[in-house]
Amino acid sequence: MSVTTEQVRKTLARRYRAEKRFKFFGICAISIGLLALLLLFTDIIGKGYRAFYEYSVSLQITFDPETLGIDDPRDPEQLQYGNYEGVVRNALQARFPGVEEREDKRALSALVSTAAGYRLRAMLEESPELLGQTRTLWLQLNDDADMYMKTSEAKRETARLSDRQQAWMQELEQGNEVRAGFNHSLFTRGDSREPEQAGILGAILGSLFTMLVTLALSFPIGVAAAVYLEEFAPKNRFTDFIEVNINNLAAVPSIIFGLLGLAVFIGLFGMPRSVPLVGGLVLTLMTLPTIIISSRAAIKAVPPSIRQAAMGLGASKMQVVLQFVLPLALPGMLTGGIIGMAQALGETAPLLMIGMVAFIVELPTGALDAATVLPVQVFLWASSPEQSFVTMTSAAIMVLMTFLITMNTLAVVMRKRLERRW
Amino acid sequence: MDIAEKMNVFQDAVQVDPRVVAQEHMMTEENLYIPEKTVGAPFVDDPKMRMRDVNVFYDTDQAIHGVSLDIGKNEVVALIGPSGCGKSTFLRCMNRMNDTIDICRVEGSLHLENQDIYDPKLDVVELRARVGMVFQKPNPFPKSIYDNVAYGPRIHGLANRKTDLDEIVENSLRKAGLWDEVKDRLDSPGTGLSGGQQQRLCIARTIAVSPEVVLMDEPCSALDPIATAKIEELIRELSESYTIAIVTHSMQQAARVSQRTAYFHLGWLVEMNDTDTVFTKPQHELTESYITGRFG
Repeated sequence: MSVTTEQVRKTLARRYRAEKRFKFFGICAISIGLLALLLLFTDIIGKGYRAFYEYSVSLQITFDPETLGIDDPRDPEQLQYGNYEGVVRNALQARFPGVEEREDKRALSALVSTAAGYRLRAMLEESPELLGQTRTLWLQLNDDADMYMKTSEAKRETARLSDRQQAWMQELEQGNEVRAGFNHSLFTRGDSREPEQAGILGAILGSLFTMLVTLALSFPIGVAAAVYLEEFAPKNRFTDFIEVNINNLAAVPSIIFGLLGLAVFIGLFGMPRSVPLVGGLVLTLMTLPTIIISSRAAIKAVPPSIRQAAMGLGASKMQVVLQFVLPLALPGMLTGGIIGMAQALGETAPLLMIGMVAFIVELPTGALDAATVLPVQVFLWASSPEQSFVTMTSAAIMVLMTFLITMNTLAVVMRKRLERRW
Repeated sequence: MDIAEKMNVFQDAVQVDPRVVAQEHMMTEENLYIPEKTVGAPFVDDPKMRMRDVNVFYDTDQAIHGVSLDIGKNEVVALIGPSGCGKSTFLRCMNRMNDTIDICRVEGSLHLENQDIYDPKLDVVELRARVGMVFQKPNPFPKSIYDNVAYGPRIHGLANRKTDLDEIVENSLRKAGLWDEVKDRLDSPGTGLSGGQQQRLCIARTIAVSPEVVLMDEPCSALDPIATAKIEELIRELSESYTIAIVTHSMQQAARVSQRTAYFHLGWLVEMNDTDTVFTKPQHELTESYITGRFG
């Protein structure tokens, strides 16, 4: 055995140990990351899953013309002011005949959501012949009663229902007169003061319109700026200055973009407050640097040999850019664009400044209707006192996360798909 | 020697012509010098391309020093010389590919027949349609084989009908000796071919626009001997209809394919003559040293 071989042998064990150590640190780092993610998801899903179903109670509802104060269900005026809550109250009292006290009666009717009244009105509007008839209906429970049902037996002591109310609920539960179902209102309604009637569709639509405005503006502008800076701009101090400033812009706190939007779009241009159009404009300003920087990187990554080949054949600058550089850089640009969009989708601070934090019940129908967006909805619900809004907050976070994960997956898939090798 | 003296010497050294420095350097090591005037016969009657006193600068560095030479019609001219001698730079002046490098500046007169190549009124697109180029590394477009060849004719509007274009593509691939290998898979990507096939595809793409001159920048340096032999065979055939200037590191290749050879050294054109003469009876010591392998 030569001296060298012996020397190498001696160091080998040490080298392998170092390698193992290095691997171990890597695995540790990844584990910590995964653990954090796991904690986040367990917490959010653990709290939020209960918002996706709701309890309703079975009641014998009589559409009594006298109680309702309606003699012609085809008259919109009468329909509008009908005493539907009275009908529900009567049904509840018929179910629990022993309740006499005024206080108790009020507590009893508080078990059913006020949404039940709207539902009865809608039913009557649709089929006027129901007037005077009796139907067995499943009516939505109020948020506190709903939470009581969702809480496990052991923890029910802490529920916000009074002892009498708890007793009634137990009686209903034992008689199989309450059941759980999918919470439709979560995905079909806008915000509400009543947790059981609140939904995130308004916020989803608001986010959608905002994102459409952002995408329509930031992607073309960003790509055009990147192409110009990379391909056409002369390399001088002025373009260096622009480059430094674009990088700077990427690091500006987002709330400053909100203030800018408030001052310029709303103050100077007189655009309305709380609308997705202004939100989209502000987020465009915020996303532009990200898109420009990633697009420039994608353009730089196009191999010079392809440019030379095209130019050697007599392609003009424009043809080289349009036919070779852009198609080859597009996957990278799209990835940057989607990541920028995902960033904008999760952005809250600048939207607070332009009034997209308002309480809005109506579903927005366009970019000029007042609306809020998903992360702001999370913020709004998180600061609401009702117990049910805690689960609603987590549910909204889950929806937001689903969108973000979908977008980021799309970015990865798109990059893999469109990436061309040579 | 005090500091002032040292500074003087230093400044003298900075101010002298780099050519002298190169000569001194050569003389001490090899006892060789760069001639005042190109040795041999750099000029021909009725040339296709005529270059006179060409200087090329990268910023302040001069890469080409007063090179004058002619390239005759349907002639293959080989440009040889050690790495960094400026032969590729010179080649790229001939179709203004150096325009893309911001800091590159070209002086002197370069003519393609009667056309001044650096005439500001000349459209570089038109020039490149007349003077095509094949690069060192095969660089097919990430498109199909057909589209690779059809690209040039398409952008220059050489074929109005599909059948015309088909004909151009077939002829070009035939001339490049690639037709039989790819005729059944014209739609498959050009990047899927082997290295040698890719380079022949690039040649087919270049000749598809019927250029008058084809510039080749070390077209075989990334290929194996068999692919190289095919390309060399192709160059000989192409020289019947095209004028070719080829930069090569292989002296055997220069000897095999070219009629005349130019030897570059540190940006000067040292010697240019018939290929046979250059390789059998080099007139300058630098050329002799290079071809006998004493440096390079």
